[in-house]
Amino acid sequence: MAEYRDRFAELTALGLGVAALSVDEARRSRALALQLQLPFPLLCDPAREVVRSYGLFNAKENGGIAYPATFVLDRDRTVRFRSLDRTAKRVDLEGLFTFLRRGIASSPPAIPARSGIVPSARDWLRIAGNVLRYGIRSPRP
Amino acid sequence: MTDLAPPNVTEVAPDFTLSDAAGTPRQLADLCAERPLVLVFYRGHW
Repeated sequence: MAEYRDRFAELTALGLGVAALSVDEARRSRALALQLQLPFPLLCDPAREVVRSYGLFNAKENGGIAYPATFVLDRDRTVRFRSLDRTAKRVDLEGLFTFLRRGIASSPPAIPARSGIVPSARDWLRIAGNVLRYGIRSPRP
Repeated sequence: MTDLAPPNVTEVAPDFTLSDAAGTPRQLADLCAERPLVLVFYRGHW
């Protein structure tokens, strides 16, 4: 989420809005939005209904969470770009920006292969603090 | 609910309404009504 925050101005300049979605309940989403100072809305799907209906439910981890994915939706909700990642922790933004710079109506680029992302020491500190505060998983409804 | 496949390019993403972190209901159709939207699914808060 921090990457999207850091590039939010760029996305806005390109004429896009941003929204993020997870299975976290509002309390956790509020904490994340505050900690990371996120300028876009966090949508809460604790029932896992939307995550399931989008085929992105990962039942194997943390009591059931979303697989990382990024979509670019046109104003009529037509998908112009999508990036799914079943292995890495998060979606790479470079493929997204390559697509956006070409223009939203263009065909999607091939997503380059890449290695996993290693969290920084600061990430680990924040993760540890949040585990202590909120527990390891979002409760099921 | 059965799990479906993620919507592909040129398909219309399913609409939904979910609460944001402040508890305000947000509809996808509204979020992308004025400008195209980057919709990010993330793993959640650690």
